[in-house]
Amino acid sequence: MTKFWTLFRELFKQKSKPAYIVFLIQVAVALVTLFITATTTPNFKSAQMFGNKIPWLPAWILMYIVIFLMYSFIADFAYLLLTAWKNEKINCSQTWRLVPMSDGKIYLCNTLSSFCSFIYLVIMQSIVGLIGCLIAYASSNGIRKAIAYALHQEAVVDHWADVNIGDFLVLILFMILLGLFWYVIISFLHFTSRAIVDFLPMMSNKFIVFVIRAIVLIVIVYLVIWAMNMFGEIYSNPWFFKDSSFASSFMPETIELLIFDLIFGAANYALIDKFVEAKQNN
Amino acid sequence: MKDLLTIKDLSYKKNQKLILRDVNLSLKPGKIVALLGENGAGKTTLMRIIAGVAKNYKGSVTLKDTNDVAKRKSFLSFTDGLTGFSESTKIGDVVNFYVNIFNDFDENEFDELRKFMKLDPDMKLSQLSRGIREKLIIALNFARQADLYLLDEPFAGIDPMARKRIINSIILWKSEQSTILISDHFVDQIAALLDEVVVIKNNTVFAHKTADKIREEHKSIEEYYEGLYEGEDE
Repeated sequence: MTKFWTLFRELFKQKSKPAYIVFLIQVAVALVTLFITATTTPNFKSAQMFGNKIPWLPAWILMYIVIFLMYSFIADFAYLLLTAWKNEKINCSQTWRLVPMSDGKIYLCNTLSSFCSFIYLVIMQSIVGLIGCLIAYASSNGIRKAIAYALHQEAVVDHWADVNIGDFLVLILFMILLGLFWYVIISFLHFTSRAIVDFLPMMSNKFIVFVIRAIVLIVIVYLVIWAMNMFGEIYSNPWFFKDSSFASSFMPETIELLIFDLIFGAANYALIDKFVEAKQNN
Repeated sequence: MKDLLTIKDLSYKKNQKLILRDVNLSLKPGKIVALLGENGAGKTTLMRIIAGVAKNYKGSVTLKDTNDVAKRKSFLSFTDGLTGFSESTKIGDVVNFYVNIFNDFDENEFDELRKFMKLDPDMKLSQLSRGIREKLIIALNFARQADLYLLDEPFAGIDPMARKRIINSIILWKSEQSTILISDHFVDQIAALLDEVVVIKNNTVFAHKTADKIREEHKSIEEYYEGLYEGEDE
């Protein structure tokens, strides 16, 4: 029998390749954008921050980092789409389903490896941002002065004082559960429609499959809205979360997501174990 | 001798169409068994059910005394089209996958088979012709020390000369206790290897005989098999 982590490593290897490609494309597109901005913007070379003149190289690096991080939203979204598609391909691939492990565990491994590879991409993007900022900070007195000035501004200081580690952790947890929810819900849509299509009499033409997927999607959206309303009523009870901090006010949504992840994840586990066949590929 | 594989009262429908009905089959260890039948008879489906990749069947499949699908998968080796890999994957990377995933995969054995099949590990899957790809699949399968090999039309794209060489060598690649279930349309070419013949007809196991018995009663296995369908086209 194959160990869970052995399969996880193999799947992660498969998914980290597109992560590198997306990352490299992002690096290249940000460079091109910087070049276009630099050549088309007047006075680009004489950058200033809070009245402090900044040499052109650190200014370009900072500009590059800003552009690069802005493109992260598009790159991450594209990678989520790409891995969701790859996930479903693997879920129904005979090659992967022949791995000596239960189909439910293969599904879990597949979903977790997709999610971890997404986190890996985000980490790579963050490292580029961090290194760029450090280089810019180290190479320019103007930037150091500007940052020192910004940090001493009362508004900025107050803003940092408001940051709460609990809020930050809840937000991170929410983002993690949201990322998992994306993969779980796509698999649920795929598995339920596949199970229905396989059951119906000779109805495997593309239009019928499309109609069934649309119906399943509508049912899922309806169920999620219904469940959210139900949870909303529970949380509106005065004894629930009296504290008005960000963490407390955001906690209901986080718990909702956790419950959705567990319910749909468990349903996917059962569906793939009992109903969803691997595609024939000889 | 104890059965290696036991299938009891197996029925399978897909899209409400009956594909297999009341299949009962037992295979002993150490045999080479042909699974014969027309196109669409259900040979591949039967193999997929045994391999654990087809679901929703009624009945039971027991391999080495276990019904557990995950354990079953660890005991058998099924010819797979390798479509789970991207076409840019090199043969060497596919081999690494097999080394990591299948505990019974023997890298030295694969190396021998690779040389025999004249496979270049640096070649990408996209560069392989159908025949070379089939050779790779056979090499990957027999590099595993499995109890049951399920070979679904393994020689379809291989040229006649290479096919003959591979068929003659199969007996050397399997261990004494392992069983091969092979479906192929080139009955005459695999006939010399066979210990038993299973025929799938009318959605079920129509016949299960020893090759010796067929040879006693008929001129050849091919003649026996063709005789089962005589007059049906008219």
